[in-house]
Amino acid sequence: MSGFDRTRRARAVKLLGLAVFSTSLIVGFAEFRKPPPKRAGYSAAVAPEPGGANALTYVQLRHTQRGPSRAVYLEGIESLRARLPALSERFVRKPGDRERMLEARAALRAFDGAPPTVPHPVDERAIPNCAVCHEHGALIGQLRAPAMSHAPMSSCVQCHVSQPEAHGSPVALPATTVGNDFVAQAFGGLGTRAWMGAPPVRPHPRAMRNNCASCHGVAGDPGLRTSHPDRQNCEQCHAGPEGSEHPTNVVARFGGAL
Amino acid sequence: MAAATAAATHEGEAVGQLSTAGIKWDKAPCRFCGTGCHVQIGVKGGKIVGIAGDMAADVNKGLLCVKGYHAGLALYGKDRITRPLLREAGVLRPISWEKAIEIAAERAMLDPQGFAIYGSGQWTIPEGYAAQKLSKGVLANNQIDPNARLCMASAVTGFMSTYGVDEPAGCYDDLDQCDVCITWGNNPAEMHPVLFSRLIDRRSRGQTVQLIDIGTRRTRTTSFADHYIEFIPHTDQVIMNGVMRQLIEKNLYDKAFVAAHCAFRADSDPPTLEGKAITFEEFAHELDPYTPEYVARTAGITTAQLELLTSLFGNPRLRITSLWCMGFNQHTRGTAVNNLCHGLHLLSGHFGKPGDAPTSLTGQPSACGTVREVGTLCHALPGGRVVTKPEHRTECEVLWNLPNGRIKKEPGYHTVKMWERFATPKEQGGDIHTIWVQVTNPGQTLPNTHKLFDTGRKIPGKFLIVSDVYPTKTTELADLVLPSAMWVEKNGMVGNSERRTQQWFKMVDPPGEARDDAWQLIAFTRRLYDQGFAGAKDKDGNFVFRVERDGKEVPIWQWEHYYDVNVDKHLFEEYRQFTRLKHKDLAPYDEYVKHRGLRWPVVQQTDGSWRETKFRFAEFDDPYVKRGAVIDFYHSTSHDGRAQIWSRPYQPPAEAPDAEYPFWLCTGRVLEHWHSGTMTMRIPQLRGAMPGAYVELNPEDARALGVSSGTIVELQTRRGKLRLPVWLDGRGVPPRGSVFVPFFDETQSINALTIDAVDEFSKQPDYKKCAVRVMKVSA
Repeated sequence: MSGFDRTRRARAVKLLGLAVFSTSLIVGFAEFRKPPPKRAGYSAAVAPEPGGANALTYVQLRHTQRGPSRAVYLEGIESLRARLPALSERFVRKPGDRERMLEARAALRAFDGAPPTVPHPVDERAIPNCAVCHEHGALIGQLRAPAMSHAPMSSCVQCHVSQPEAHGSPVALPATTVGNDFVAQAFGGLGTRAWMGAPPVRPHPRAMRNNCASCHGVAGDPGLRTSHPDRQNCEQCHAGPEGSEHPTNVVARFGGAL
Repeated sequence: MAAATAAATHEGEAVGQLSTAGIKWDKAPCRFCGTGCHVQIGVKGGKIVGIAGDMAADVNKGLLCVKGYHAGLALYGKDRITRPLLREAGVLRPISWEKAIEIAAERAMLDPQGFAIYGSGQWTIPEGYAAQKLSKGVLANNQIDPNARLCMASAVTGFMSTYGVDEPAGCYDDLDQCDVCITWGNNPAEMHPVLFSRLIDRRSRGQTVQLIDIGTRRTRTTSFADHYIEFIPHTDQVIMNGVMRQLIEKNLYDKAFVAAHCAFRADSDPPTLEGKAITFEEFAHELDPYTPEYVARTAGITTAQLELLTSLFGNPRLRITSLWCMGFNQHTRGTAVNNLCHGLHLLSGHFGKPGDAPTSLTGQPSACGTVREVGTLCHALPGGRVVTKPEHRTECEVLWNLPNGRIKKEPGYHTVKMWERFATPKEQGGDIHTIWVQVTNPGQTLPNTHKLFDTGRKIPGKFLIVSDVYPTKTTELADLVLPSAMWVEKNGMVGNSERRTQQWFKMVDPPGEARDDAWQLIAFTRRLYDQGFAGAKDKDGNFVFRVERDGKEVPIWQWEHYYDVNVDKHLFEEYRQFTRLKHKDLAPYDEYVKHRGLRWPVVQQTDGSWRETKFRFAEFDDPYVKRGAVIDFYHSTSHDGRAQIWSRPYQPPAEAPDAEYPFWLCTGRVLEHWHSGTMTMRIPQLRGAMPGAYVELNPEDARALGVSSGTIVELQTRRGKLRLPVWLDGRGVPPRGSVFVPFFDETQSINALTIDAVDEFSKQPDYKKCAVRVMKVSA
């Protein structure tokens, strides 16, 4: 066995676990057939296209022979990442991209600022695998795995939970459930510009969203992508929101430093 | 301008808020568990519109869990109870508040001694204090107990018998400093997620944290663990005794620490929390049977695993934090296993340094602040006092300005007994005729509910009053339902697992006619006063909840005047006087307004400022430790500054699997739902993520039974039965011979099956172990 082969082999073994996990997500996406129930987001949800079969469960996957497509599994992660557009690639937003993005975004959140729910099954216990796709983001056909907007935290599912159309529990959502009258604050709108051509002000805080590229970079939704992902120091031009009342309110009320 | 913008941004991020204008943000501790995260709540147009983690909070540093992020939605379930309801001819019909309070008061006037209050660790501190004063000082029957009896009573008896005073010596800062964290029958990845992240994310920063998970089922916590030690249920006692034996045999225990700061105890006859003093030699002799081979055989672990624990505890250079919650506490040997864990830390000297402490976690936002500190238990008085001690009764009577002898010296009934007496006809000794339930759902959470809850309703002459925010398994059987305000619909204060007292202000109005629980208690007491009930008056004839402003009494029993003053502040300032006796000093109310909580003892400094205490009993941080003592257990039961290391031999469980009922049944919580799901099951994102109950089986057992994920099986115990779908390889994986069922689902309530056997000291039931059989129902 050549040195090259040994390296490949070692890498293959290492990637196998990760590949099994991420492949299950891909299979889950591609073969989604059941019409999904309405998501619990804060505005009219954009329902995914009906079609496809139920995703394989992890138990089923474990017993699935991986024959001819083994190579695909083993190379899966690398090739997915390779599909991300180059920083230098010219990007032009299409009409409707932004509106569609806002709807899709809202469908996965209880309110603007809530941790998004997960639109695919997650392994109930092998938690840190989320980072395989979501650390840098990935593109799988038309499906996009967004990169984390915050520094990696280990226990992802502490905040991000799957919804009934996607999670691995055999328990069905009850036919009748009590509604909820919560009315969320939706996305506050685009950042303002001082003049035509000025860089827009960042319309949201940075807390838990300190990796701008996660949404605005090459792995981001077309509705959010920047025209200049090669520029890395975003805040050099895009200042934070000014004059928002909330922090000063809190300071004044409690009469002291935070 | 750039500088000004940057400054504003920085402040905005200090509280982790959203940028949308027109939203008013304010702080509050999260509504759910005992971690005590602070959230920022965004309110617009009188409604909550968003939640953010509070970056200025020590506990969570801006992070929340999925429950916390969605806590705001808990207020807006469509079926909030908005009017008082009275059951007439089997149907709950709306009545006025005046009528509701009148009916409740009539029940008390009928026979004050049989009128009980069943509360909770979700009572705020002022609410619990009002209930406490009502029970001990007004009705003077001591018939008050909380759901926390089902939750952390064994932790209390463990602390009391070891240190002479309740609550942990360490705090969450230990999680930032420990080298090793041991989770004993504990799954913080789901139950205390923010604390778990606080610990485990240290690894992302390049620090080494060894996680040892000792449990009876693989969980999300296990997937992060360096070592998983799976033991046979109930044999945690054997493992800890085994480690102590090894530490002594190998001469690895901390001789200097033990000589200076520890004493040894064993059960007295009859058994008490003080026990009897024994020598070190007697203690060591009691450990003789726990040889590695015996421990391995009995507990189902390997001698190598025992060796691992011995080498960790035997290494003085490591900082070891032990965490536990219901695994130890819901245990018929709950006090004993708590004692053993403290004993292990004391014997090995892993105590009194940052990162080196045994720390129990609580499940409710104020199990500590309200139940343990205010003392809403059948035997307790505020500030660590007990009804059985005459000097404690006298102190309370003086502070409450009550006539001498008002407080009864006999304790009331603990939770299980209270509900037993309520479920028993009067002529057979069922002397509790009325229970007023606040902020809890015993219809779903009592063990063996067929016996303790359902049967009571078939008995004439019994009356159940329930204050709640949503219809529950408990309101289903209530005679009178009172609509309550919840969380930030009222002012509040709570106390978390690390002795941190927290405060918030009312931010939105409650819906309809819903009103504060404390108001309900005060209005009820006022009704007694107006009826001439002597107990509602102090010794000068004044109303016991008298609040004055500018020398004039404010009629706080009238709802329209309740918020004329800050009643919470009045109740808290009165309660604060009780807190010095056990060195649990609390600061004035206004200090808590300024902070994201303060950990007691909060001691005033010479410059007038108030200083919190992170580490108790250790000279470097605790101002009550004698100079030069290094460690000082100043409430020692042996009155010599020493903590007690208990000899706690193994005793068998109340029920174990047999040929008829061959499986262990364990119950518990899940990440998405909090307790009985009353709030979280009404939050679409949480219900969506975890829609209903299930039973976890070991895949091998499932194969043997011919069932797979989704198959409906029937679980049967000697007390009840329940049909559930099987979930294999789900949240947890039990070992062969064990099943797990969560208890959040009111439509599939597992507590009809659980056993009501209790720990002999704490009277806390064991929800983690009973015998069950599993029958296949469908393909």
